[in-house]
Amino acid sequence: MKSAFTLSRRRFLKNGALVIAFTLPGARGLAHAAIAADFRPSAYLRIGSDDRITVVVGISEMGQGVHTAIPMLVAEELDADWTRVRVEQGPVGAAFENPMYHIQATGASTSVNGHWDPMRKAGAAARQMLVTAAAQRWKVDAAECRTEKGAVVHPSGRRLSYGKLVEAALRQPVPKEPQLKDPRQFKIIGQSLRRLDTPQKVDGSGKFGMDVRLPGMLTAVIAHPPAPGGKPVSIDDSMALLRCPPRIVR
Amino acid sequence: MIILNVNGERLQAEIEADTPILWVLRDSLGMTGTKFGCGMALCGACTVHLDGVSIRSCQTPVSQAVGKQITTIEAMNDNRVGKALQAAWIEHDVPQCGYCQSGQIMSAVALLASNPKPSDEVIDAAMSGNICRCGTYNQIRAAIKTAAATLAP
Repeated sequence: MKSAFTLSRRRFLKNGALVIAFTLPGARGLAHAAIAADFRPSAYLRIGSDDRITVVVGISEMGQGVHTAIPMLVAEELDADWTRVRVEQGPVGAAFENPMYHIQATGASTSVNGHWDPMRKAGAAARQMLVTAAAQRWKVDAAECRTEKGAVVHPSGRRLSYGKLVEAALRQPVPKEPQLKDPRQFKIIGQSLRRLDTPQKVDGSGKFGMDVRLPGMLTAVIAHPPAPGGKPVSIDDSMALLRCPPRIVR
Repeated sequence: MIILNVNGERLQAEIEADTPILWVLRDSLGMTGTKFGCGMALCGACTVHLDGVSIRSCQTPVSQAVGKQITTIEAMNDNRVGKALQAAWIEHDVPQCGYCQSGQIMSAVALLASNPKPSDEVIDAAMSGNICRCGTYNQIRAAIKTAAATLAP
């Protein structure tokens, strides 16, 4: 988990994917948080050479749809091909703090509101780096290039998918204040799209909290008193120990 | 020593005969697609099939599965009816939190296997033992009808 805290502004992943690590914007209202944010970059986005786009979301999906809504924010500004976007549950780490609460918490309808700017900027920064990479390869002005459905295109007819630009895009500096779209240009935000988390929820492969098993993990069971206010006087766990001796810990 | 058949695989388990099937699946076999909900056979989250019949695995001792086939959500990718239901579930965007959906699909598979063209009333009755906190019942009914239509000869 430590690596989530120490990510540089951009870095390679072992699989050669383009990773966009991004500084959270100044936290609303709190000066100290705005300063600290510069030291808390995080990785929200991977683009593979196979054109697959993975958005890493540190918010809990509880049925409210954030594992689709947050990738939509990134995909919009990235001009991604939505059919190639998938979602991955983010790890625990400072980089995934709720920008409004400054703790990694999910609730109070703050997920889309709080991540609206940082996630759009993560997508926009990636898009800008991909455009620059394509322009350099074609030896044209980046301003002549545009993006659509996961590719950079030039009026001359040239076209490169993001996956083909991964290596060149990695060498670009991460823009600090990437240009965001005018909401009137939105193509993905505002649509009602199928949820990205459904396939794992219909074949049993989705992992819920109770499904997590860690080495040496124990399960605590609360023995409730038969009446309110009861206090334990003695404990007789002989039956439990008899039935599954290796699994009971005193 | 108990010998079990889970999703077509023969397994031996050193386990107490009165252990609920749910915990054999989840704890002993690491198959977490089947969910623990209430532990009292009231919610349907733990639904699996025993010889094709829906049962509540949280209240069914493993001894009752001896000589029978246990089938779980993990086997539905290879099941004609299960696959049709999964596709319909995706088409109708049925799950919200998704916790109950393994059980919902297992109940729906048992329903369509015995009644390929159920009416709304039959669907509601067959699915009434599977509770969904998110309230996806209307989408479930629509998805079952879609799956029934795609499976029709």
